[in-house]
Amino acid sequence: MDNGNDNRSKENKPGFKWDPLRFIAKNPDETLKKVDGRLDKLEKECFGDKKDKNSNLKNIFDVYGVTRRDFLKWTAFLTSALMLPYVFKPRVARAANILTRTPFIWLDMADCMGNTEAFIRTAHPTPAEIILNYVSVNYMESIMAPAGYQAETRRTETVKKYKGKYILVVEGAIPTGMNGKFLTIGAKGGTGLEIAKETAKNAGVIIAVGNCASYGGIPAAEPNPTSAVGLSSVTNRRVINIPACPANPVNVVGTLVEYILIGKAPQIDGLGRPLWAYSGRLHDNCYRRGHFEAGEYVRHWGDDGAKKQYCLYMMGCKGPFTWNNCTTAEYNQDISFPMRAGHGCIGCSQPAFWDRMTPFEKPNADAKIIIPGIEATVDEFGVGLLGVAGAGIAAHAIYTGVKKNKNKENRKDKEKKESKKTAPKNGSDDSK
Amino acid sequence: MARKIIVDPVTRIEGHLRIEASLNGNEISEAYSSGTLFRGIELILNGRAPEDAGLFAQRICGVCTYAHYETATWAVENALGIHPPKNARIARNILKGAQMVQDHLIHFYQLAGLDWVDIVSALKADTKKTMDLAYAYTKTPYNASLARFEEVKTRLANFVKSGQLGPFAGGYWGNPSYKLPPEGNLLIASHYLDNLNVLRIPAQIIAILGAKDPHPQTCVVGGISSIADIINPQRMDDILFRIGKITDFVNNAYIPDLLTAAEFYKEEAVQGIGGGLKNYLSYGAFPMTDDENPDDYFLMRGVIFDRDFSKVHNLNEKNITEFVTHSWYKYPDEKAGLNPSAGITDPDYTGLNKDGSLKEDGKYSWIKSPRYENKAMEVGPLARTLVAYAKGNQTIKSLVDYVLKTSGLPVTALFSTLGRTAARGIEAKYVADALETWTLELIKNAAVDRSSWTKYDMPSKEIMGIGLDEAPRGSLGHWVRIKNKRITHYQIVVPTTWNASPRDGFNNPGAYEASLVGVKLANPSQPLEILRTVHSFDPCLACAVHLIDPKTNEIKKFKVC
Repeated sequence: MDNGNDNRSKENKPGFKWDPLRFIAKNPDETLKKVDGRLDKLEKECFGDKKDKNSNLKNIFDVYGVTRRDFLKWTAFLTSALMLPYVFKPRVARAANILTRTPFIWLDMADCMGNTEAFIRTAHPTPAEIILNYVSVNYMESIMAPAGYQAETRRTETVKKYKGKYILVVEGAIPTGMNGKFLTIGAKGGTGLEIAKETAKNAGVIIAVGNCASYGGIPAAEPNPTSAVGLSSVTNRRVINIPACPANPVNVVGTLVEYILIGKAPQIDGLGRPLWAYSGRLHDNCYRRGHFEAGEYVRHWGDDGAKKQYCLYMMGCKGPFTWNNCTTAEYNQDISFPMRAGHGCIGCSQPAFWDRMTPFEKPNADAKIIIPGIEATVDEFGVGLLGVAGAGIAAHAIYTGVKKNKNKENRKDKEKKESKKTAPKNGSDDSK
Repeated sequence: MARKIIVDPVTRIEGHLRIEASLNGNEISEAYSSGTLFRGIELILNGRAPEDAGLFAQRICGVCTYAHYETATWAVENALGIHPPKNARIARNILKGAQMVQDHLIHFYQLAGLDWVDIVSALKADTKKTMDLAYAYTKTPYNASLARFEEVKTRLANFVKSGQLGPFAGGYWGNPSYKLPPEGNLLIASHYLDNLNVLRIPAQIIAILGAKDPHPQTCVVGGISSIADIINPQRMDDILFRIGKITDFVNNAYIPDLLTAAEFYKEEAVQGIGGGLKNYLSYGAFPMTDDENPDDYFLMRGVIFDRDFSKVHNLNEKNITEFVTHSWYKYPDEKAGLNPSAGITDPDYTGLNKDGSLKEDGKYSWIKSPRYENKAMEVGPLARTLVAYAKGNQTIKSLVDYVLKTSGLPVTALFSTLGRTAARGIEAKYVADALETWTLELIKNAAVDRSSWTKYDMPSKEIMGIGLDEAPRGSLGHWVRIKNKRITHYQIVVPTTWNASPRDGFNNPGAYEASLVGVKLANPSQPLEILRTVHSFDPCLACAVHLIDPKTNEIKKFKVC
């Protein structure tokens, strides 16, 4: 298997526009042939014979009560989530089959296990959880039966036996303070830092799950007591980041499937995130967006606007500054996502959101961040450019909404006075 | 000379835990528990907006994520002196109830199950006999039929044959300490698999009212944000429908499986293996009245000393102190404990011995040692059940008596690893049964009262609040000070700090350490019995080791009072 270790390729440089038709745009027949050849080769490596290949997924799914229909639905879902043409559907199924035989190590660093929990109990959709969690996991502290020596051995053996082939998933930030001694694992007291470095060195593909593993997350929030960092800061290997708190499992499985299909890590943006999942901005895909345009806002928790599901911009929603697919993929089997439950987005798929997006429940002009233009993708601004001024959304808000509302307000009672105070007057209004 | 064994990492828990035990023959004579990860969330909270406290604090733990969210919100509300409206109070109870049941389910099957159930032995089971066992403790067993058991057996066999045991690989299968017959193993293994689907259901309830799970976003200071869902009959029906599925599973799988396990592990409980400490503490949770009076909590508040049921003491939070004698922190006076509202966290990492073992006479854990009236306490479902039982809670009493009577055990059998596991199941049923009542009450109330948030003014003067709550695995306390609308001091004492704490200034062991003494290992190279007892507390180490620490090489003093 290709180790996907090329450093950030040119298409990921700022200014590059993502093409959803990526690898089949130029020569579809040729590409399909290549993908098929690759799948054939991997299938040969992973499965003993044809019978083994054909019965593998069925056996696994039967144990967990997943029907063939569920699986077909899932492959269709994933194919479209990956923005691949329909001809890829059977190939996605084959890739999933291969994935179950690919050795897998899941490392827990300075984490809360929230991402694991998300996989175990809430992932969308079912086959993804099973493929990830219950089949190919060689080392995962949270669910594996052995402990202590037996558990450690499983890890070191997997590293040795499947050098350059295993998938490494890391959850949690890496504490680097005090030579990494804020986290020790194993009878010899090896540090999390050492283990992460060592395991990353020989991995086939490396995925950082959740904001902590991607960018340091909450342990790295000011004043970062343990000098925690994201995984990409401690290894020179390429890391695919799947941020959010917790990460949506579908984004992890999709990334793995694409890796199996094309043998390369998928295209990522300047923040290391796969573009198929993270190219859309929450604000643009939010079902409350219409109310934003109409200037209809929630102004207090539980007010009339809250009951009518108005826009949460004034309650501090960070959807305008956050790139992810929460609004379309949703959490807990299509049940909900933050805006649907009447609480603004907190920007959990952006780096350093604990510092840049707080206070979470205050509108943006009050927050410490400054706003990018309205239809931009993160790369058009370049990495970290969330800090560059732009009239952007706040200005937009004035013209479409706030102003209109303010006029209304003048006629309304004093209860609304308070929200007026928090309404941004213009784009550069940065009161604190 | 006593032999020493080290179990690190302890798996199937949340976070990073090490257990060291000295063995006399094959019996544990002394045990030490050490938290091996440190993140520092309390320090990170300083200077933040109080409204954000819940969102930060919930990241302490991805397992009891909602419990921290609610407790932090309670602490801020306590400081402000406000109570949420009725809709918000009930909705929060539903959120927490769903979380508690889910946590207990995942614990019994996925986390602790493999300590009691031998998956490989299940392959030898006779399906007809398994059917008999399935009907032993319920008339309507969950997903039980000859075809189902046959299917599970075949599938497990295929699973084993394919060499892809996944997380089951490398377990301690065949260890003589596994007592269930093959049929019992098959029955519970079959429900282990069912539970993978059931687990999702309480999480969906949390998502309906709280956006997502883990890490919901809804419990704002003063109320709840998801009022649009509360007044939407379709969403509330979605909840009711799911509660039905949960209670079905609890009544027809969880409780019968528990009784099955009790039948075969009875001897252990009678001997009191894993009993440990004799003092129990419960802060109580689930306010039932709009003034949130702790006397009326659904899970009762109280303290029991020396297993004396005749007297349940009232809780006085001033009596809670934390020691650092054996933790990697410094105090001016190391023999004394400090109340969390005046807690000092001055880190002092002294490392491990050269061979990598713990310095047992010195400091050996990132976890502090909280004590109540200078006594080590056990917290969690067993403590809560005992408090309610001793206080004469009729529902709990009848449930406990039913479990004891059916399995022919005396009350004292509760003081054991098995008893702790049973108490968790009893509590799961107690809470699951209440969920429907609460939801109906919420629907009824929301029809006439649509308020979901209490307005408040955040003052500039210094205010201080305490949130005392029950997380699924035990008593959880948050202490907050706010000045100029910013947090100036935050201290958290979580359930696992109580249970996994190292020795204190008087050399009293913590709950894990005490409960391991006397545990016998059938095969010292396989720490199965240690895992069984430690798992019965449902360890949650990410919570326990959230305290602060300074940057590399720079020991910074941190003192607020």
